[in-house]
Amino acid sequence: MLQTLNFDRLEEKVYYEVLENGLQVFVLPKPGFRKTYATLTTRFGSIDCRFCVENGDVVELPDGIAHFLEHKMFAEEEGDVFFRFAQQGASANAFTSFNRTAYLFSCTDRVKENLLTLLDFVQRPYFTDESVEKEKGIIGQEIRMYDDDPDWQVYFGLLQSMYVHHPVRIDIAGTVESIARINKELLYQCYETFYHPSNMLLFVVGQIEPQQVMEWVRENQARKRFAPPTRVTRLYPEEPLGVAERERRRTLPVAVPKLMFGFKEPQILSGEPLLRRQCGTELALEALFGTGSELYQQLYDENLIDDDFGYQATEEDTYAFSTVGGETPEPDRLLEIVREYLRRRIQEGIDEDVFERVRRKKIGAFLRSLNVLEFIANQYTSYRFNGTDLFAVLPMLEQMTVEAVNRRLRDHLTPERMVVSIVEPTRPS
Amino acid sequence: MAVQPLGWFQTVACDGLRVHIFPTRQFKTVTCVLTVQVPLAERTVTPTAMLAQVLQRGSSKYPTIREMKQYLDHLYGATFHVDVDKRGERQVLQLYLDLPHEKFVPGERELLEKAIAFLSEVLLHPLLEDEDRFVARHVEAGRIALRRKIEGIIDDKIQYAQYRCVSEMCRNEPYRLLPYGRLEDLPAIEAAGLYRHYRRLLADSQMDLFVVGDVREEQVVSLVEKHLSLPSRHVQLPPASGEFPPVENVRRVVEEMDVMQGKLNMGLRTGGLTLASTDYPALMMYNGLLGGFPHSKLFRNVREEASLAYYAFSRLESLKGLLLIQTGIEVDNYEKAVDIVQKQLNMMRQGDFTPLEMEQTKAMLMHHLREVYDRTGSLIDFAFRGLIANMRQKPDELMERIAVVNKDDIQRVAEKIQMDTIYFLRNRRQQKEAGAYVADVEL
Repeated sequence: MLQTLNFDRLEEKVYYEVLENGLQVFVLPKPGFRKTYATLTTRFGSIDCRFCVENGDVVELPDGIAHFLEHKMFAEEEGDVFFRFAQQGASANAFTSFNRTAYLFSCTDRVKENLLTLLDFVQRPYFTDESVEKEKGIIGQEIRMYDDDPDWQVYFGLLQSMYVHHPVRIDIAGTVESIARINKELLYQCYETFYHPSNMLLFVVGQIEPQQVMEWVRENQARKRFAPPTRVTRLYPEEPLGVAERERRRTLPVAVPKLMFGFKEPQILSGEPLLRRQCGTELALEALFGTGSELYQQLYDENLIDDDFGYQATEEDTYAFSTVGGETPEPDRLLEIVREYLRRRIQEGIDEDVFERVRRKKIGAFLRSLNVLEFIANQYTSYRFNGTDLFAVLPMLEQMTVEAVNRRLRDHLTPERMVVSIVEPTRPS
Repeated sequence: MAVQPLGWFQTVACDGLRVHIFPTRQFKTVTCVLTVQVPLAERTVTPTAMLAQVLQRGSSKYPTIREMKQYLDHLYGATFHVDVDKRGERQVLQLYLDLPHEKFVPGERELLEKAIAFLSEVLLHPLLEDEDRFVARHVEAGRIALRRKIEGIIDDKIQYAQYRCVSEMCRNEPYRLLPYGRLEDLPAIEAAGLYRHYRRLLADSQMDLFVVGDVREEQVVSLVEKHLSLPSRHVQLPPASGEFPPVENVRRVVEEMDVMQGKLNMGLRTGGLTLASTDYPALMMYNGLLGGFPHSKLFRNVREEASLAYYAFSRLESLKGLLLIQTGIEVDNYEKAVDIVQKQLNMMRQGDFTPLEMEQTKAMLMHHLREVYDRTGSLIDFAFRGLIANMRQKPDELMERIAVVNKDDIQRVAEKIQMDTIYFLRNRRQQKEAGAYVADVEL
């Protein structure tokens, strides 16, 4: 049954249905846009490297296998599916994150063909020993590219300081050594376990007619046979509340040091409480570290930051943390200022004026993000997987109070759970 | 759903400023971009870059960064930045402002007027000392920020290799310059001289304002007349492409650094073909067949067939007439990768591409041109590049020109494409001295 969710104030209306095989389908018409963008996403990411199925043994996978599988899905018996998409004028791609893998295309023509191509190639694995070996060279170069990328290195340095055991500390692509262990059989095993329709979500947004899109998808899915869904238990190691280490430093051939600091959230949430906490954290971070904050002005005046200085709050249903940082000529001086500032601000909290200013800013940023179809599809899926709704962000921001944000500030920005990661320039020898 | 014929920017000549307005209800925000265009030149590149730094640090009404940012936060988190960019051999100082449409924020009125007034405030009423100079402290901060930007190019190795390839290739042309200017000019810039430069720029540069969103043309024009009145001017700029120097040798440059991955960048000349050329659609087809997409020759052969790289693509600098190839490889595979790329270039010259490849490439180009209509930023960018090349056309019109490109057209373009520079960033060799070395190789 096709159902609808209305968000009148935003002038948005979402159509959705759960198909018989368990696939969740969401459609958002965007009149005026020429483009249609679709994502087919599975809840399988780099952190899902240990699991067991009902009555089965524990399975351990090599690091990087979710990402490897993503690369190999594009291979079809008759060749690479990129060629088909190109012929149909669609730009196709995929990405793997910590907790999901998304396959996507955008097109401005032949929507039906492209949508069915997406469903068909993701639901039809084709791996050979030879093509798996060949992919190791390509992914090896992807890993090397990230080895040289200071922003990536400072980010993973931070996660490694923050987490003792949780696999979010492991690089999404794995290592050259870990991917060497991947073979065709392991890929099929991952596929069978995590690519069942009941573990996946299709989101289509653009110039489309919802009833018609739903019709195409229903018909396509009805023609395919799937095994009954099995219950998969993902096994994450027990993660201590505290951090692994206070600080991590490494050197790379860069001109300007990169600094990132962050706060580990010990408690994990989902659904409405997750959304509430995320909005609260973002408002707190904006108030303390945003471009209109006292700190930003001071750091800017002392030439310690550039306009790349920023923050991010990550809320997922198995990990949550925030990060703040950017380039700075003097990471230690900047940290000293931040620590002193936090001591003071956490005690004092923020006042009603600051709260109102940062809330307005967040509302504006949210509206702006709805201009972008790619953002809507990817974020809608992510919020759904976390048991909540992207379009609920606006009412949640409107409900927030200065007291809630001040509580968040004290709970989240605690010195005991603060970690630091720095990439320093290689000293000339 | 039938596709409605879409509008395009309407241009209105106001005093000293061309205003380009695209009314549409497609977006939840209104985007305003004000551009100031000057020729890219050694003498002025650094002061102009410095202006972007100084203007964003304070105006007479909002004298500190904090006051400026807090005002923008109150405008529902308007996104605002001032920066400099390079478009062909033009340096562009740009003020970008994007803010929610007032219909989505209850109780809010006149947001568009506030936006235009804010752009005017930042551009025309900067914070001064003694009425004839910028604030020395802001100039000093700008100097530090620019130094960091210029030196920091090296931090992103993909971007650095690209910059190095282009600057070797265009070492005798203004195009070698970074839009942020030159390190050696920074110490001499001072507050009074910079203010004189600013006055000159305001008096005689080409200025354009683009507005996209749910706005009415006459509403925008009357707000511009109220807030952004400028002395009228008649601007004649040299062509943005600059010269087209002949290629005599292929120049090979190797640079060593502590990196894990080698970056192979190749710079080619299009033989004078640019966005303004009749054969530009054929040049787009050439680039698409060679390396613009995942179905293209470079991706297929360097990545999929030979497993040498994760990324391998080509792109056009359409205002300058360059074609740039980029890939990241294992250092030992340098010769192998160069050979494969050369082979693809030869195939293009010999017309060794199939009707299927052409069909795929056309379909992809059409898709990307239609997509231009779906983002305010890409709409403005497309229109602006057209103005610079003096080639006013809608994406739809360019699509019609691409549709009729045939194999002969592409081969004619292929004849003109010439390898100019091969740049390789690699890891350090143990015994040798580090640093760059250059060899010119006879064709």
